[in-house]
Amino acid sequence: MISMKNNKIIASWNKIEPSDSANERMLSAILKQNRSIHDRKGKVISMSQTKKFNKMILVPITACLVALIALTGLVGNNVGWFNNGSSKTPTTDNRGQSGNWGDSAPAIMVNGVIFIDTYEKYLGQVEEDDIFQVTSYYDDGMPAQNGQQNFDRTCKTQYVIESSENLIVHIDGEWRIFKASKANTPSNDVPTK
Amino acid sequence: MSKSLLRTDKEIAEIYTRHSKTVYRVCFAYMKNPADTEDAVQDTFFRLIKSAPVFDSKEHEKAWLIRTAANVCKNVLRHWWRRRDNIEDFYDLPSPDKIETDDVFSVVMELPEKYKTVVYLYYYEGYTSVEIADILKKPQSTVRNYLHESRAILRERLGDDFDEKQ
Repeated sequence: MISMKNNKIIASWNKIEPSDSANERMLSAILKQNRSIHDRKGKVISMSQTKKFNKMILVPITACLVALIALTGLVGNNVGWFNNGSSKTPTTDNRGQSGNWGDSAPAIMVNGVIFIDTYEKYLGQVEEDDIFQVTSYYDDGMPAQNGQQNFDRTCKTQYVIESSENLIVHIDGEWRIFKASKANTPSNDVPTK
Repeated sequence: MSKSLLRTDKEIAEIYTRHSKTVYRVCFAYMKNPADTEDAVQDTFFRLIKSAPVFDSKEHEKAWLIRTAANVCKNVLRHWWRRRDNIEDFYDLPSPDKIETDDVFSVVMELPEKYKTVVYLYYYEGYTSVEIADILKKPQSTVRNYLHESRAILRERLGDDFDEKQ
């Protein structure tokens, strides 16, 4: 159907239009609504962006922290950070002992002096007559009595008093030098053989 | 319309300037007074802002606004009907914007609601019945029927004043 025109109808409709003030009112209200929608959407966008940003930042940070903790644990174990100064982890238990030295370095108390493992191998000869045997085991840090040590639960470890400064201790299948802790002074007590 | 977008104030103002008169006339055909027409026009543009449709062309934009304006007005009238308000009470609401109408327009306004928009789109905007059917989402046969019936009423009431020409 072809559209028809009717001039009188067109003329009458032409009179129907908003006044300038009505136009101003309507446009003002419409733009106000538009700005309010923008504000609301803007908030939603910024909130979602914040969430996205948080995810983007927090995930790598968490991953880094986990990696750092894991690495710290690994390195710490290897260098003895968690072994209270001990830089060597027991490898074998050739003494039929637990092999667990706990948090302290291997140490023996002789004549009131604590001798601590230097991990230095003794290259000399040990006279059998000079050998003593530890008497007890102490599992909570450093030994507190003469003849007591902190690394051999079976208490079969042997040692030789080389001097007031050094002990020669049979540990891990070898003779090693234990040095006197400087905080203690030697006494004249004789350990049990 | 597969996507939507938020429009800037400038874009909204441009759309308003392009189509405000058309939307106003469609709304006035239903509401019959400037105050309610203003509200309906605003609601129509609020819908544009909220649904933020993307248009293929300015004609698409205009058609969307005409259909939305008609729907907004019909919703308002339906609401009034539910409240059992007498619609005629709202025809001559006091308004700062007094619109002068003539006899021809009064006769058009007296047409049944369903005819008025079709008459406006056909005689004033120059749409074909096919285009009107597309805009108002009605069957073409229905639009043709509306036009036929409204033309008969207008010819009867306006007499010689109702002269159609191609």
